[in-house]
Amino acid sequence: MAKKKDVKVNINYDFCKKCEICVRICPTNVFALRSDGYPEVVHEEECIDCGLCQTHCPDFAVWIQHNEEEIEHPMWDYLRRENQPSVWCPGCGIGIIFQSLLRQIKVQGIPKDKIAFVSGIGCTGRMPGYADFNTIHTTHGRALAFATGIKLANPELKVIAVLGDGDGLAIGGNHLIHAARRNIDITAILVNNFNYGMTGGQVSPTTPEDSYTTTSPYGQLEPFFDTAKLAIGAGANFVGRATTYHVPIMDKLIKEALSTKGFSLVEVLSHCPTYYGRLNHIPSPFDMLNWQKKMVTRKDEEGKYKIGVLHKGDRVSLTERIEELKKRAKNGK
Amino acid sequence: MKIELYQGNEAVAYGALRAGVSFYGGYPITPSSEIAEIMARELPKRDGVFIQMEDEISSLAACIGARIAGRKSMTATSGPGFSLMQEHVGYAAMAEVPVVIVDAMRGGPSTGLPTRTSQGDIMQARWGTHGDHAVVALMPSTVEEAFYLTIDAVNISERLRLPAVVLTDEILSHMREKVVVDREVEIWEREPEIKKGERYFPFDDDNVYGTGIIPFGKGQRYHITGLVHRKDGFPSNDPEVAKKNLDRFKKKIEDNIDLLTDIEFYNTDDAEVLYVGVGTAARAVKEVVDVLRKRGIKIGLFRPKIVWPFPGHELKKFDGKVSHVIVPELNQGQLVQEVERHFKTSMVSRLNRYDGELFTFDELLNGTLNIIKS
Ligand SMILES: Cc1ncc(C[n+]2csc(CCOP(=O)(O)OP(=O)(O)O)c2C)c(N)n1
Ligand SMILES: [Mg+2]
Repeated sequence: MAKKKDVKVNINYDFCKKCEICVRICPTNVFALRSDGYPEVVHEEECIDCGLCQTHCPDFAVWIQHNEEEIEHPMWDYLRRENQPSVWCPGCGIGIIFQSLLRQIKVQGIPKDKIAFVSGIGCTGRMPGYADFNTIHTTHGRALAFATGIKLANPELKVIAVLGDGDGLAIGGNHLIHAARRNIDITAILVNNFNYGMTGGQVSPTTPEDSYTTTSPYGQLEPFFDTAKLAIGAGANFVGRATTYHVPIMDKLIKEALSTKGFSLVEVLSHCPTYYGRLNHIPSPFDMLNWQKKMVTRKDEEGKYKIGVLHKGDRVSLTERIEELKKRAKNGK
Repeated sequence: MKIELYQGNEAVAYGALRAGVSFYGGYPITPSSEIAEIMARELPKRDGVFIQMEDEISSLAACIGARIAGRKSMTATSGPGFSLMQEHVGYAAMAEVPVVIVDAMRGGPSTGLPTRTSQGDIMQARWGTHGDHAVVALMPSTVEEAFYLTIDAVNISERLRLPAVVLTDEILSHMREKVVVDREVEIWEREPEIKKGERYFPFDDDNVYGTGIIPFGKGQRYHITGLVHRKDGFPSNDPEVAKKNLDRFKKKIEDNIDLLTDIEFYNTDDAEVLYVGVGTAARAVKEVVDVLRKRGIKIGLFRPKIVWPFPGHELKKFDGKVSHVIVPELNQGQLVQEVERHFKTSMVSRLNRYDGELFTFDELLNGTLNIIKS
């Protein structure tokens, strides 16, 4: 049988964690599961080059090769490969978001030396350790405070911060509000996995009402934060929301965020199969991706998360205002 | 000779500028606020950056961030803010990022006595953050010293890549004295040179003191974390790495003890009674020394200007040579606990005041005479 597309599907078994996402997400059954739990390419000729296996592999283990040059994963040069595999559980959504971010940095051609990549503490906070940029893993909740100092000290740096939902909205909520209010040139990506992953699945400010975590064993009583509304209200210049299922939307939002002047925030609803998923009866990574599909809307629907671009503003950024201030101060005004 | 009449807070601010500080992130608090106000006015004129952050946690975070991005940084606060900063004092120590924190001490605990003086943060400056760590604390007792010790603090923190604390207090912050501002000072400025093709190990033993730090954006894409880390900056749980990491902090201090020893010896050569005093509490002590000397009592003052690391190696030379050691402090007795460790035969006594006021001359004189007589 003739190949549908002239491509090769590769698996890096050193990086693979057997999460099965590729096997289950492929619309043409290119993969099969081996008895040892690893995926295997069995029907390469069926590949339609949709890219789902590649973009949804949290561990940079699967990629589609189109020519002789692409012998490594497209993000290969952006990874600190010696630190792979990551600490993240098999199938964790954080890796999917990480890949999307790297892809957009590559697409935009931002030099690696010019990127300052900042995080707080949590599973999400481990992201910078795997990226070949100037990276700093700070304290829980304070990524944006460190990022603010970095950006102000050297405006030439492209400053990107990743936040967890506890990190960015509970302990660090104040810094998020003030970074947005200042409208400082920072792109923040908030990984909302609905719970505290790193510490064992405790309740977070984004945990949906009535759902279970290790510290809401009877169901969460409190309402959750609408991250996007919070950031818009505080003054961010760009706000969007995607999920780990909706990778093309996430790509587009991150791309726009990176080219926004002023503060930009992309909230990504992510799946935490190990804790949130297990405690709420959706334990498989792939089922969690499908669950996300049902939770969101592109329109305004009560009880659903709206995804896509949620706000675009044109306030002057703090970075621009400071440069202007320096000129005035030197002239004694 | 150029002389200025500075308030203590002005001296700190201008000292910092002289030392090359070009970033200030802070949150207002009495009695330190004038430092922020001066920095807000002066930094933009000099291509520097001032930012008022949303709290003290973020203030110190922003300073550490700014230093990593290439600017010498400082923040100033008082007790309540210093308490909030503690997590990042530890971060700066662990990540070996130079940064200067000025703590203008006021009465505590909690909101305490906002407009009154105290030396209640001496122990917090040493052990405020969790874990074994390296930190340096300097304690000026005059406005001129506030100027020069702030410069020293910046230099030391840069040189040893650690947080340095300048402990002033409400009285010093707000009193005016003359300052000779053009004394010659060395400003420590260095950046490691990495040969092409060689890798930069920012946490290699050879790279953590005396070499400076390569800021972000200059082609060395390294990693910084508050976790225990290897010489390349990446985290590790290896017990050997953990021990090495912490040993270095200790060694940083031990190997540089000469640089970190700064003591005023006032009439100590033949002393039979020795005061150990710091900061503004030591001011009236000197007057008492002068008066008691006239009465024939051989008394002197040992005044560390750098309190942490505490110069025990110098102080213990007085053990047995003096009959009495007296530690006057504006707290219930903090430094005295450190002093006691260094005396086996001489008797150590304390004089304390903690109502927000400075010692009066009479109080010190009578307190001293009572101790000597007993
Ligand atoms: C000051 C402080 N408090 C608590 C912790 C413990 N802690 C580590 S990560 C974390 C929560 C992580 O949850 P989230 O921010 O949602 O990130 P995730 O792990 O889910 O990506 C907590 C509470 C800490 N490291 N520091
Ligand atoms: Mg989380």
